[in-house]
Amino acid sequence: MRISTNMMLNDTLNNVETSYQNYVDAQQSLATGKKLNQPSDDPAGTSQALSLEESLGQLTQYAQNMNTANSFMENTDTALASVTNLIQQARSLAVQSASDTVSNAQRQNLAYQINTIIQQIGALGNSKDGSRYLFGGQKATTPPFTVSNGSYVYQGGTVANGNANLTVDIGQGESIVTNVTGDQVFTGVLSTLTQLSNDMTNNNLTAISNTDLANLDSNLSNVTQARAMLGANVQRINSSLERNSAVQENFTNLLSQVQDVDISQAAVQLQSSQLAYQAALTATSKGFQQSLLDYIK
Amino acid sequence: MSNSFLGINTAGSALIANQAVLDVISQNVSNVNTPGYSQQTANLTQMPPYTDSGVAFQSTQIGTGVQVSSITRATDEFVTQRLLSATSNQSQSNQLETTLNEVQGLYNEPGTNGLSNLMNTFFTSFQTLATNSEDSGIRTTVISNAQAMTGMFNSVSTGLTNMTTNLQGTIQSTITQANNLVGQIAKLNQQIMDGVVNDTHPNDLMDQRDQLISQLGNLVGVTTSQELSPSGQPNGMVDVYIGGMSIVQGTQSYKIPTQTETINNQPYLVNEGTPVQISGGTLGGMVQSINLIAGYQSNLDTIASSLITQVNQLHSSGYGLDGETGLNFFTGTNAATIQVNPQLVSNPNAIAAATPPAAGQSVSASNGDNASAISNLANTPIFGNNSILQQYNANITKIGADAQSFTNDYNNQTQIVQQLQSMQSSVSGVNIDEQMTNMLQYQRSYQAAAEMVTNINSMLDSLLSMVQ
Repeated sequence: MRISTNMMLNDTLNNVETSYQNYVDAQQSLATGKKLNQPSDDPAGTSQALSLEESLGQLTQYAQNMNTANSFMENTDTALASVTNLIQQARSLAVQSASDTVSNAQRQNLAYQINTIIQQIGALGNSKDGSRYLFGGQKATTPPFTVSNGSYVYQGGTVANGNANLTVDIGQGESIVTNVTGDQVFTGVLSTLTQLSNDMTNNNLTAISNTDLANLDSNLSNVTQARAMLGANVQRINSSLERNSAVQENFTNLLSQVQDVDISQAAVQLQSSQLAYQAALTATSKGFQQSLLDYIK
Repeated sequence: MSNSFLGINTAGSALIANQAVLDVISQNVSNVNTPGYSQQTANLTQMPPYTDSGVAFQSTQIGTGVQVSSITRATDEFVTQRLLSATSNQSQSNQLETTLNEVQGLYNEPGTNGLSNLMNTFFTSFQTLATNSEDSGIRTTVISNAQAMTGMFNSVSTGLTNMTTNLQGTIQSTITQANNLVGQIAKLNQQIMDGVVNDTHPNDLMDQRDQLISQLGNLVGVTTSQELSPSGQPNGMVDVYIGGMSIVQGTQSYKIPTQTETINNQPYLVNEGTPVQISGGTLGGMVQSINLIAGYQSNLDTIASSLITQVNQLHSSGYGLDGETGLNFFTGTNAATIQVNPQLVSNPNAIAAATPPAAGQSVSASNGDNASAISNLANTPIFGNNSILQQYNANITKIGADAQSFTNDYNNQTQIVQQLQSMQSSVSGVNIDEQMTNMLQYQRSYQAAAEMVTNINSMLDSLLSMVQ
């Protein structure tokens, strides 16, 4: 093939440009650490990266939901543990007061103690996690128990009104109830204790041993049941959280594989493209040194 | 008996001819870097011989020297034709690559400012709202996340519309530019034909015309054919066509129609109602670009409108903290018009995070069940098996795949063009070393001829001194 002067120039220019472009590309990918800068770099990879990012965003959100729920449920359980203790205390006071060896004056004293327990349980019924009342159902911004005519009245959400449950999404299509309402665990025990206190004041020993003690036992099992339900849900959340963080780790790795540059590979690429660029430049400078013009005198 | 001055005349013709060859070499060297220049060659032939019947020769022919019979340019018509169509394809794919790069820039994926992330953030902020529905700070966050998303929808949509408007303007100016070239080609046809008729070898005009045709091919794919005179010989003129439509017919040029359209994704010009396919050139690329952009725009509108419909349907059934219900979350119908309902912007408590309360009940502050339902739209299959987010990702993948294929096209076409340019340059390009060699050769011939003149002159001197 006949080579014209410009052909040689153009070919050399093209070679230099191509090797320079490769050099710049290699430099850029090492500098940014990303091989996926726009969809055309890898259309299938982009789609994968976008859905991984979306899943990661949602997983982070679910993890946040679960952590919030965990704190709420732990606080609920602590409150209910105190309620359990107080019921047990009340029960032993009731057993004591049911005995006819106890004087009426002593029984009055025991009734006072029951009244203190009523106040303590009532206060627990209004306990909070941050700004939310634990036992108010969906009406979590106002105290669930108010005192009217000396007795506690529940004002929170109920199953009957459809506003009892605080639900939290813990995964795609997976949700969990995080709360126990005041009317489930507090209303019963508060009314039993009020009755007990009255029976003590009135020295109604039959009522104490026949009715109040049995009611207290049923109230206690109510609380125990609620705590068992909570415990099961906390466990479910903890295992969900574990799964969640394992999946997040897995997705983060996958995402990195799709969009991040393999540093050692990129470094080698940079080295070789630099070499190719230098070679092209050398060839250019040598190629144009020779001309017949140098020899015509 | 031959003329005493025959020899000096013969040598004189060599002086003139060699001088002419050196002139052509000079022209070649001067134009070594001129785009479109074809190397020229001075063709030497012997002069008609002189028949002598004298003393020295018995009735024989004797040469009378050398002349330049023609100056021709070195071209390969076949390579030129292939280069013309390859250049058109190259500029078309270059235009498409540019368009797609701009489109990708608008979408800004993958990135935190891309719609994929913004839509996802929008949906997850409804999750946060679901667990904190009474929190006014989070309600404000929901609004600002939603506004970031609608803002991006608006901006991508406006960007696409602006691209189309700009392309439409550029198409018209490209057609004007092409019409200008077409007019110049027709004018050159006239001048070249005059030259051919008068046998003056208008090489430089032909180079100029090839150059104009190549420029035209960059703008719009054209084919050419040599015109023949009635005797069947080329008359030097070239006819130019777009598709089957003639735009240069000898010395006559025709205006390129300004109306364009796309049929089956292929670009067309509309010539008095008849579609003429455009094969290549930036014009073809731009018409095709407009069609592609319209497709992306409509896909984006589908995403926006289903987002509007789905979110509004849930939102209007729910209740705000303040008991407000029946409100749409978004106003607008497509990517260009989607906005967060201004009523919600001024009163975030009206965001309907709650499901309807039971009859006779007021809204419970911590009911976030409707917010949770809205948030779960992120994973609800709406387009077949695809959720809104997945459908959007599929759109981005399509844009990426289009961009990648046009980039590959462009790279391939560039390779082809470079190869053909090399082939053309191999035939038509000037090689300085070669020209210098020729220069030395003809310089020597010139010197020899001059020596001959001196020599014969001294012979004639001797002859004349005899007479004295």
